[in-house]
Parts: sequence; C-alpha cells; structure tokens
Amino acid sequence: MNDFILLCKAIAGSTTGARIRRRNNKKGKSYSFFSSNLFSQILAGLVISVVFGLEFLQNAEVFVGSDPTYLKELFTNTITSYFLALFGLCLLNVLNIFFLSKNDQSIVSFPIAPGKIYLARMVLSLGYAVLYSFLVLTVGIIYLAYTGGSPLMYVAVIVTFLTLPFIFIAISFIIVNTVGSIVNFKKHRTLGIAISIFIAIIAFAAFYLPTIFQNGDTVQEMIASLRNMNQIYAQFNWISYIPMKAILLRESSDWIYLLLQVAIAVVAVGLSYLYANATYINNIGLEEGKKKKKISADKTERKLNKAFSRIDSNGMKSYIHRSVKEVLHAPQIAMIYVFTPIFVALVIGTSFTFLIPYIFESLPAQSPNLISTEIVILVAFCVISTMVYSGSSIAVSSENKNIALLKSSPIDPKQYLDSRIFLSVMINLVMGVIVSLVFVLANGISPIFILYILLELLPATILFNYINVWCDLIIPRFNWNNIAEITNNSWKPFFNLIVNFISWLAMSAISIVFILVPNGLAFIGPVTVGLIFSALAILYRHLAAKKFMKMMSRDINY
Amino acid sequence: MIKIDHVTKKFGDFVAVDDLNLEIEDGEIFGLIGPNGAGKSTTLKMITGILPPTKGDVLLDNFSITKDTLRAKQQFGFVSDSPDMFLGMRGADYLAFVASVYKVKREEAEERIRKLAKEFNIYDSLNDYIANYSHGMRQKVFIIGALLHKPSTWILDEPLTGLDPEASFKIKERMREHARENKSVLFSTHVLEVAEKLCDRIGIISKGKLMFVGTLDDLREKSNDNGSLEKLFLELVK
Repeated sequence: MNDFILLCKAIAGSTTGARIRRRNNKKGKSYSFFSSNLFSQILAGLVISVVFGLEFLQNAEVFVGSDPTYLKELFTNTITSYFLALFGLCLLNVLNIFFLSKNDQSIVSFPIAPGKIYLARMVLSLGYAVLYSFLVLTVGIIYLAYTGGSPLMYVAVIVTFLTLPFIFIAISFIIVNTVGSIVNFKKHRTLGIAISIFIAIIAFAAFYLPTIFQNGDTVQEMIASLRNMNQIYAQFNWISYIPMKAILLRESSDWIYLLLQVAIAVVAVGLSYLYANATYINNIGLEEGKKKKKISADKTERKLNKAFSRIDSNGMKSYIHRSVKEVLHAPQIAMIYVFTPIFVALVIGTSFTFLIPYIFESLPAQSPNLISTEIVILVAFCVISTMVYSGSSIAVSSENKNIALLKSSPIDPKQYLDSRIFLSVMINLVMGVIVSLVFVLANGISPIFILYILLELLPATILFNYINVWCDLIIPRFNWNNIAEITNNSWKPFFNLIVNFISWLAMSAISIVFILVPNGLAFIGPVTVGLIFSALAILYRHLAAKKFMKMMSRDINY
Repeated sequence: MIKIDHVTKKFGDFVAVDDLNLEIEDGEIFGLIGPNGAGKSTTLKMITGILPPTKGDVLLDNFSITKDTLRAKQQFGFVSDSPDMFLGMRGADYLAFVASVYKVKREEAEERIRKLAKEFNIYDSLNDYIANYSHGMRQKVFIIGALLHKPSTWILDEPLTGLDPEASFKIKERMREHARENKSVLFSTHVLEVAEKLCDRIGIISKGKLMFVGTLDDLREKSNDNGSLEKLFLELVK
C-alpha cells in the first residue's frame, strides 16, 4: 500500500506538486496535490453543476405545467446529454493523463506492474471524473426535492454519484487503450486532431442543426422544438438507463439497479485493471520516432528549399510557421488551440441562433435591419469572447523548455507575440464568421451584414487574444510535464474568460447605443466600435510586448 | 569578447554564483570547469540572458546583457545542455526560424545550413522532426543553429554530452577554427581531458566561487605539482 501511495505521489509530483511546493515552501507536500488539482476541479464542477441544475429547475417550472410527464423526460434527457458530452471530455482527460504524460518513459523503466501505474493515474483522474458526476448529484437532488423523493432515493443518488467516476475512467481507459494499440497517438497527431474535429462537427450537426431550423415563434412551437431535440437525445437514453433506474428507485425491484450500478463500477475497474496489466505498458512506452521513410534526393531538396523560403527579411513567416507547427504537432496543445475553440463556437453560436429570435420580439421595431446588425454583432462577440480564452491563454506558457533558448535569442517581442496568437486569431475569425453566417441565414437576415461584422470582428479577435496573452504573461508557467497542469490547474483561463466577458459587455453596450442611429448611417456603429477595438488591440499588443520583455529578463523555472 | 563584471546570483538565500569577475578575450577558448552544482550552468545562463544577475553585469562585445539585451544577444551563439526543445519542428524549419530571428540573409543562411549539416552528417535528416532525432542529432542541430549568424562569441553548455566521437571531434575542430578567426569560445565541461587539450585558459568554479583562472601551466605552477589536471582540480574544489 505504501509503495502505491509513493507511486501516486511520484506521478502527482510531476504534474501538480512542483509549482505549489515552490510557492508554499513551508507547507507539507500532501497539501499541494489536493489543493491544486482536486480542489479546482471540484470547485469548477460545483459551479457548473449548480448552474445547470438551476437551469434544469427553471425549465422544469416552465414546462411541467404544460405537460407533467415532461419533467421526467427532461431529467432523463438532461442526464443523458451530459453523459454524452462529459464522457467525451473524460476520454480526452484519460488520453492526456494516461498516455501523453512526459514522464511516461521513465515510469515504464521502473519495475512496477502496469496495472499499478494505471490505478495510480486513475486516482489522479478521479478529480476530473468527480467534476462530471457532480452534475448527477446536483440535478438528481434538485429533481428529488422537486418531486418529493424518499430518503432512500437520496442515498441512491449519492451512491450513483460515487460510482460513476470509476465507470467513466475505466471505460474511457479501455477505449483509449484499445485505440492506442491500433493507432500510435504520438505518431499520428494530425490525423487524431482531424478525426476529433470531424466528430465534433458531426455531433454538432446531429444535435443542434435540427433544433435551429425547427425553432418557432410561440411557446408551443418552442416546446415542440425541444421535444424534437428530446427525441434525438432519447435515442441515447440507454446510456443512462441503469443510473437513472438506480436514482429513481420507483419500485422495490429497482434496488437491483442500484446494486447493478455498483457492480458495474467494480467490474469496470477490475476489467480495466486486468487489461492495463496486459497491454498498458506497451502503449505508454510508445516511442515518438517514426520509421524513417526513404525519400528521394529531389524531394529532400524540394522540402529544404520550402523551409528556406521562409527565411525573410522581417522573419514573420518563420515565426508564424514555428508557432503553428509546434501547436499542431503537440496533440494536447492542438486540442486547446484548435478543437476547443471550434467546439465552443459551434455550441454557443447555435445556442444563440436558437434563442435570439425571442429577443427580437422584445426589441423596439424602429429599424429592424439595424437591430439585426447589432444583434448579429453581439452574437459574434459573445462567441469570440467565450471561445478565445483557450489557446492564447497559454500562448507563452506552452513554450515549455523552448523558453530557455528563446531567452538567449534576440527575439522581437511583437513579432513573437503576433506569431503566438496567429492561429487563435485565424480560428476565432473563421468560426466567428461561420457562426454569424449560420445565424444570419437561419434568421433570414441579409448576408450583407457579415461585412459590418468583419469590421468589428477582426480587431476584437486580436484584442481578446492579446488580453489573454497579457494575462498569461502575469505568471507564465513553463515547468510543466503535462499540458493539463497549465490548463486545468490554472486560474488564467477562468480569469481570461471573465476579462473577455467584461470587455464584451462594455463593447456590447456601445453597440446597443448605435441601434438608435438612423437607418442610412448604419455603418457608423460598426466602424466606431471597430476603431475602438483597433485602438485597444494596439494598446494591449504594446502592453503585452512590454510585459514579455520584462518576463524575459526575470528568473523563470522551466 | 566577454566581460563578466562582479556578477552574483542568488536564489533566495542560496548564493549560486558569488562575485564572479572574468574576462574572455577574442581568439581565446575558455573552459569553465567545476563539479555538479558548482554554478557553471548558472554562470552561462547569466551570460546569455536566460537568468538575470542579482548583482553585476555581463558585457558581450561591449553590449550589456541587462541593458542592451537584444544587441548583446546578437553577439553570441548559445548551445544549451538540454537539446529537448522545439520538438514539434523539423530540423530545417528550426534552422530557418533561427536564421530569421538573427536576421541572416536567405542565401547566406541556406549556404551555411547546407555546409554545416553536411559537416555534421545530418543533412539527410533535416526534414525530420526534432522529436524523432537522437540526443546527439538534436545537439548537432542546435550547434548549427548557434553558428548560423557567425557570432563573435560561441557559448556552449556541456557541448560534448551525448555526441558520437566523430561529432565530438568536429565540434572541437570548430571551436579551434572559431578561435583562429579571432572569435571567442566559452564552454563548460566535466571532462577534464577535453579542457586540457582544447582550452587556452580555464576557470575552475566551486560553490559559486571562481577558484582559479589561468592556463594549465599557471595552475601547475600555483600548486607546485606536475600532477594531472584531475588531481589539481580535485585539490582546488575540495
């Protein structure tokens, strides 16, 4: 047992412990792990769960009157949809923690049973899974309180809440380990990322597009639309069948489902442990190296010439190429830079597309086109401000050990920072335009307004990304072994989100003022806001460059 | 030319480098020798701007690394002791990036990359990702990167670690050639024989203090002993 605890500490020490120990030299070592990883995850879980729980309650109050059976349906579908979404997140975390840690090779070289390494990493991953199952606990308790559940049903909710994390992790591990045996994750990064994005887009199309194009103007039509969406979710209800039965315990025989839930957790962990013992070591020991392909001298020369063609007088091409290449080559970072913004943009954008028509009805009909423009702009801003935090919030920290050599080089700070946000800006801009276009088409607004949007979108995207970079430069962190250390355990993404949201609110307020401008001068609003964003973007670029130079002259742990 | 002017580095209460004073002339190969944790790497990191000195300053061709940072950094090429960097780039892309950072003209950079890559036997691997290179190959790429802009000073931290004998020989030859061109070379090493055969002068550092600076003959004279460098070194760092 003792050696297992030491193993957990060794793995945790290389991920969460180091930073906290340095910051709190006088505190004990055990404090670090719980304080940084679990605490932040559980806190985030609580907040998210309470928000969704309240949303569930609000929906329940709205719809239960029109159809009493709707409440149970809504509860089941809420749990199912979050099972689907969060199971995907669990898969990503397992991929990160179990297969992409930098200390994999040294761990493999120790005489430790692979199953034990698996269990130690499972202990670490439980923090993430707890986040996911908090939703079940919160929504479950709200539901039982609302419907007057018995004390035993509360016990059932808690047991389900406690067993779910083990099931999530174990099943995710079995899936990822099997896929990893077939496809070497480290070798096929680009393919992996492309597949992930493709799956996200398919999921988006399947779950959201039908909703967008079926929404109506009246409450009845809205209910009908939600029911259509429910029917889609209902096809996946088998996923949450046993936990739902276990939680609800409507009949005495349903106790069997609670036992089944516990049994599934035990069996899943047992099976995954045995599976890990048999195959895990081969997968985490995967070498990064590819077999060298024999290529012709001509091709070698062509590729070299292409690389040399990026050497230009101001160096920008090389800076950008380096940043983009490094991001796409590291699957964990690519997920944050590419996958997350695209996913967030699609979900938030389409949700807005679904909700905004109801806001239209409540607005004064002075100038419908102008109001439409401003609302489209607000949607685009909101999408950008929420999705932008992910990539550029680690723009500098993601350099990891590279920072040592960069510190000894005469790097131009502005060129460097421009190159670090380039990919984020491009993705945000393209996604902002796509989301706006979908919104415009779905709501019958003239596509000409996309031009107005672009006037504000481009400087806004640059500004938001520079705000993130500036935040990252406050306390950059380079000594990470796993990218999760700077994303999951950092206050920065949340802080950036808040900063971006406040910026968005301020700019939205300015935009709304321009709703009152006469119709013929509709361009004044976008142009003015665009100019304000541009000025702020230049200011933040300057501030970030200054902060970068200051950071480069400081002590840095890497 | 490197001038280290009363440089001290503290990490909290721990003094890693204590009032270091040293001048390395053009055309000179200078070896910094010391046991593990003596302060060699910290010294090199302060010279190259990776770590700021707590006190004192470093001048590279009369440019202060703390005040005129970017111009000072243009004067040297640095090879770190850990080549596990820029793993997501191909060797050729990395070198193109370095050329851009140092504002080397395309034709000149291209010619030098081709020449040095052939010299270090990695020409055919330039299109591979650095992540797929062995330790020695990574080291070679970073050495080429450090030489691309023809720096007046070449600074190397444990440069021979992980290199095959042929590459080690070539680097030593390069260092000599660099010095012959009236440029300076500063490197740290644990391998005393290398320092013995290569250096014009050596500096022995222990517990952050420079215990000795001079030629080997000076050292032997100082200790009144004709023993090996190893024996003299161990006596000094005791």
